[in-house]
Amino acid sequence: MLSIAWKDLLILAKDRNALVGAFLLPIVFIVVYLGVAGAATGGGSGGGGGGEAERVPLPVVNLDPDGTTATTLIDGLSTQGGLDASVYAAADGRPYSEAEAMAKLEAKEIQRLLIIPAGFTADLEAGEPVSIRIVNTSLDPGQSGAVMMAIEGVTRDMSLERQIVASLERLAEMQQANASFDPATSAELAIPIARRQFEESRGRPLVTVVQGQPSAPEQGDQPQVTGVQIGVPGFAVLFIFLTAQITARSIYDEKKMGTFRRLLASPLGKWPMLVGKLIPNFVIVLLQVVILFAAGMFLLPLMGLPALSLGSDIPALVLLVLAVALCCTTLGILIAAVARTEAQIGGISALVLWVLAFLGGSFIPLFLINESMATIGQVTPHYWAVTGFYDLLTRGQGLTAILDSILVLVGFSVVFFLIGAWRFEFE
Amino acid sequence: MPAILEADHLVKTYGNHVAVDGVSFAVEEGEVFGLLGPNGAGKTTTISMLTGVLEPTSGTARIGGHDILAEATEVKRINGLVPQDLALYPTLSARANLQFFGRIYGLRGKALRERVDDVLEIVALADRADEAIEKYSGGMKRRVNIAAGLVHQPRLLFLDEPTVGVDPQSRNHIFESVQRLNRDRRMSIIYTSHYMEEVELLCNRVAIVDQGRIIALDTIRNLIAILGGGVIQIGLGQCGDEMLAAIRALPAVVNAGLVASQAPAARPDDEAPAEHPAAGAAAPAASTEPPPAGPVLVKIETRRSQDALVQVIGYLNERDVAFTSIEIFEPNLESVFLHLTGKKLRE
Repeated sequence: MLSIAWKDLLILAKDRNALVGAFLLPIVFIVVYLGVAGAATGGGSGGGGGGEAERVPLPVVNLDPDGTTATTLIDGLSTQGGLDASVYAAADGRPYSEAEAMAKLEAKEIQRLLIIPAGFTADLEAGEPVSIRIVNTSLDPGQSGAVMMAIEGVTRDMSLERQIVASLERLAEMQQANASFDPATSAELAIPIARRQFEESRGRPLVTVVQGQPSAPEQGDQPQVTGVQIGVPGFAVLFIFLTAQITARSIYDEKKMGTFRRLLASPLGKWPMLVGKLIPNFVIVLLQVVILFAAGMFLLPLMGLPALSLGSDIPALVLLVLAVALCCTTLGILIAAVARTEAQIGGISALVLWVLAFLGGSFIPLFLINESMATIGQVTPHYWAVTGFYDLLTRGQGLTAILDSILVLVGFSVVFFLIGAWRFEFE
Repeated sequence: MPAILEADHLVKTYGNHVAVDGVSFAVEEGEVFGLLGPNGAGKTTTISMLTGVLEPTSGTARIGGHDILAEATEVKRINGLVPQDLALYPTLSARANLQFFGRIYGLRGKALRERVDDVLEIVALADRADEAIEKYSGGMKRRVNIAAGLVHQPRLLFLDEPTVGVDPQSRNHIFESVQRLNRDRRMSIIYTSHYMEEVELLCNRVAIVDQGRIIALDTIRNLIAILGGGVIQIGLGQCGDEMLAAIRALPAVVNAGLVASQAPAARPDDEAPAEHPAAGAAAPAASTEPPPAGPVLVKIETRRSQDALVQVIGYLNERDVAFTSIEIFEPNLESVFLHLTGKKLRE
């Protein structure tokens, strides 16, 4: 089995066309695409397509349900902030707990969540600073930026209002404490007090907005959403799956040259032989990921583009890459079993793989298009691979968030292998 | 001599097409056994079943005492296969190819290196062993193709049309290699070909295969003896029963009849031409049915072809019968095949 794998790797190492297609072409493609498109979307150019007319939904977990200020904040986010903010509740009207809502967020049922802490109203009335937490998994930088600005605007207004009220209350206290207080001088006193409060609110706002992460928040900051963070994983998935043709072509060549007969006549056995043919594809995919991600980290910055961040959960990334490699490799067996001619392997399967890559969001992230495209995309392994990479590399999430991607990719692998093995013609 | 191979009613069908139709034969240890037949006769399919490449539809075989179905792995260790195609990896060197084929038979380390060096010597390619095979001539590639089947020292070597597309010099080299392997290493060899000269040169015994069946099996001497002194095939404007009987009566003629493809379907009780006992269930190649009117092809088996030719031509001249063609087949496997099937080997 390993002999076959080693021999195939030797043959591949001498095949310049295959090497260029597997390693150089993807790098050139990524560099040209990101460079020409100027797609560093950190500045917000990459997002928000078509979203301006609609109010952006903002589910809220209100842990201070009886607090009037909390309710005012939620209302304010809708009326002043232009968001569709509401308490996140089940169909029967029961508000979700924080844990339930976070689970929904991780399951990608919602893209962002605002959490108002318990005692929010009481702390504010006592003049104590409070924090509200926004957890965002959307990779649409335009929409995310708009939500953040709306929340900060509304909370800043609330802080100011609260602090002006506090200054007036202090003035009233001074009046009550001094019986000889001359009302004519109240304005002279009130203005400096209000200014002082305002300055304090700038340096120490009463309401601060903290950005959180859906899982493993202790693992560091969420990477900035850039064209590189979107483009490199997307194109990596495209080219990874294109290497499925390597397995198919290798098996086709063995049959065409007659070496397949020799292998069948050897004591190897059919299944070890087939697995031996799969290993090189698996190795190539691993090398591809290393080379493409390394190019994203070190080559793209040399061209003035942001560096690729690998996120904060490398073990999860390794698991995802292994699942993607397995899926791509077993897809090769399926192609080898179904394709009858060289044209079917080279042309038709390549076309199918490019279409699947498009549907799966390798070129344009599906969250930038519409929900129906995302639904269609879910039937492709590309979608789950791309989504997994986005979760890790761009959303800064961890293993929990990509378990679904890994499981689906392994499921695809099992289906591809079983169909491929069933249809494979050894004779 | 014990048999290294015993094939027992091997059958291979593809849908309605019967590629191999109940083939049975045995090969003795140390023998060079030929499978002679035209392209499409079923030789390669038979070999494919014996080497584990194809599963028989029915029937089985024992090789080295092991059943090819129940003990496939043991059988595959005994076998060496040299396919008709150049079954090699062209971008790799001869050495790398041979090392790979050695490894898949479990050879490693020093043993592998020694075996590779040994087979490179056998095929006389040691000096160019590290060049990529794609740079080799056709004959050199053929030699590496043979070496790849030898690297694990098989007891039974299957050579499937090993000289197709080979220049005369390389062909001679292949013949010498086969003879040396058999003589010096006592390797049993099954050699398929549609070139009767090769089979006559190399093989002790020959099975003649046509349409998936063995139609004759014996030593070359015995097979040729079927024909006595050779065969004459003569084209006539017409040939009646009386003329056929007269030709048969000529002293140097053993038998005469119309070529099977031109004769009406033979009845089961038809008198078959003289046939060697080893010729098995061969279909009669000539018929004694009343000949059709019009041009016919008459096949004449002779005691001595030159004498028979003189007598036949004399007879035809006496009766003023013109002949349209005349062909003499000296006694060899080609004429045996013609005799048994009514076809030439390379038709």
